[in-house]
Amino acid sequence: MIREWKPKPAQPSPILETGFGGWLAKNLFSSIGNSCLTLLGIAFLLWALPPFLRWAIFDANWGGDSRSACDAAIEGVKTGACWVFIKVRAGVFLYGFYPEPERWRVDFIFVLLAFALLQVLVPTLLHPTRRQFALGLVAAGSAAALFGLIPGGVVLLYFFLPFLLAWLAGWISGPAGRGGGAELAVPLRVALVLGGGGVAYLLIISFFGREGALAIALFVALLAGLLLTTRRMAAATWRWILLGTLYPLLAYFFLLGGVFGLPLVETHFWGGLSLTLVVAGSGMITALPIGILLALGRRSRLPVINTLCVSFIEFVRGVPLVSVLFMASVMFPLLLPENVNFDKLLRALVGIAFFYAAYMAEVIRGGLQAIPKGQYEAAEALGWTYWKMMGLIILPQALRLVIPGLANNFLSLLKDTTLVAVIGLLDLLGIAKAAMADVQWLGFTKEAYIFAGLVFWIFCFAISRYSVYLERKYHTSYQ
Amino acid sequence: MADNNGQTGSETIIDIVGVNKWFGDFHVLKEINLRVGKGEKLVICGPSGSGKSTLIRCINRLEVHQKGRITVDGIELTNDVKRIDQVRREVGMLFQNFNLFPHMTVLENLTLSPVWIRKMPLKEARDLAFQYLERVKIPELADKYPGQCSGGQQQRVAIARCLCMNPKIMLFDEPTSALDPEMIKEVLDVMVDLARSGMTMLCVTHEMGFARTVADRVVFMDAGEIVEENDPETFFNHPQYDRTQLFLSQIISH
Repeated sequence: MIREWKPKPAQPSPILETGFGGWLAKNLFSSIGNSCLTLLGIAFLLWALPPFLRWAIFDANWGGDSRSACDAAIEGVKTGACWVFIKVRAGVFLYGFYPEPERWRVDFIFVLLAFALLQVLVPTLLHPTRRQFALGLVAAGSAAALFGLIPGGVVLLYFFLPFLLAWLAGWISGPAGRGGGAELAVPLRVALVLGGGGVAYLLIISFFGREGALAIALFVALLAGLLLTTRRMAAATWRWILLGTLYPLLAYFFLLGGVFGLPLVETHFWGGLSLTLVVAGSGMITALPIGILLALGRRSRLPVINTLCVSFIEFVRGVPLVSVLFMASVMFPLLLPENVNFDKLLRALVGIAFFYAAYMAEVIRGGLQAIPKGQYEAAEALGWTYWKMMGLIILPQALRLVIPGLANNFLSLLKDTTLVAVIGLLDLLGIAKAAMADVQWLGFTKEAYIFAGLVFWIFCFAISRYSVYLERKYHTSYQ
Repeated sequence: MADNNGQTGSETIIDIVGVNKWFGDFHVLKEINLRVGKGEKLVICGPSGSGKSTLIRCINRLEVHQKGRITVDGIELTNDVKRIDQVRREVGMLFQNFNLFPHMTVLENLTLSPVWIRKMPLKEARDLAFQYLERVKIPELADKYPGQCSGGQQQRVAIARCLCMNPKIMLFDEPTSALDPEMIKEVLDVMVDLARSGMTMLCVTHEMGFARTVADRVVFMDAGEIVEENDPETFFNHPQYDRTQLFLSQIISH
């Protein structure tokens, strides 16, 4: 006769260590050697930390607004750091020589950046549409309160344009939801794109004047082109597109000025932390896409593309960034006709973008090599063409694999922005060095370096934590 | 070689004439001639390295043949990308390692291709996906990731993914070789069900039970050649060549 078999119920695992004591025993005092190391570590901290804290915090001078405050204190008991120096120079550290009445524009652009990044980088926090609405209203409201109605309006436009575009895309594709703009005849689409750009151009010219009209017309044409060539896209996708197109356009208008009644502030006035962030930010958003293209090109079987990409990558990896920057600022103008003159900052940005693109290309190529051949075969067998397959199937997997490597590249890009000092651009570190040389404030190098280091550390730590967040997010979805 | 190509009276859907292929100096396919009728179920077997996988991979141009002619549903395969696309639209393929897209849920795996390749509205694609998930009996897995499914479930998802593209022909490249014994049956059940629905199927497999019950014809390959092809009854009971006999005795003896 057949007997019924029942699996045994699962038992809870026996708990080995509990409480603080258990944790200590397991992590710090698990063996004689480890106990010695723990004690040594504690001894080192006791020896090194209190003097530093005393210098940096307890005996430091925070009050006052001139050198005499620190000098007076040093005579007395407060022999610590002189943070008054940083406080007095804060404006220069943040904005460089950007004229004081215009500094709100820099503030505005970075406040907008903070909200825009919050919007796309933390999608889980802001998923439902009504939360996005709320965020848009909060951002626009705070911009209006801080900087006036027009900047507030710009922010409002920035945050509600994705909804408008998504709705427009839906409207074009009609109730059936088929193809949409992509189904229209090609000449009609070209005409619509050119028409959209043209109308925008004429409108801007008639209301504001020539400056900035071309850039806005190009932007409108780009949006029209996207609406008419891609199939219906969600508001979330549009948000990314705007972050890569509209945001740089706004940042360019606001920081440089010379358009829409904003006074021109030439790039040699830029400096400090804001310059660091401009260089790092534009470097990051341009280097990654170029890096992806280079990585794909290097794996291409077409000999011309392959050779071009390989030689570019190998050339760039073979030279130091400093020499690339020198070439961009000294050699490049020599090769151009006399009257053509690109901005020095722009040349540095291009140099950094291509330099890091070459490094990122190799990191991404590593990820591409880890994708099994079967993924390509399955996609091809289902009828996928190269670019769609890469964009939706291969790259999403490859990029997830190389998040740690890319984060590495982003971090070193951020820190290497300090090298723009060699071509005379004063980033945060450059400004700090310049401030040290001020005769009024001689002798406060420690404070300046520690401040610059701390600021860099905060930004780097943020990037590093974000990469950990991304890794975790995508790792859990795999298993 | 047995000369009963296109034995059934039905319309030819795959026509392979004088196909040769080399990997470097290695001659993998030697003068292959094979005709498959619409709705026919073909099982291709043979020792490893006999070229059977390569042969079916030539049918959707995952491998490129160097000599001869392959025509699928009236379209001859050449380097013309448009033709390759047309053929791949008609032909679905199953792999030994499933090759689901691991970064997407099961449902996304199923809807992605209809939406992006066939330009189907998402809602319609979802309905279709659920319809095929029901058919392979795993609708409850729609929101799971492939890594959370067993091998048998993954292969059934892969079948559903192919079916969502509404192919006329399905190629199976050893679909059960990477599976545990208990899971082989669930995949074979789905394949039998598919065969009953009239799909044209070419299966490279070592499941001789499946070949016996489902196949219209069994093709035996060795060293890049078709040694013999016959209906399963004759093939298993009266093989014509000693090589076939040896192969059969080896796979059936234990």
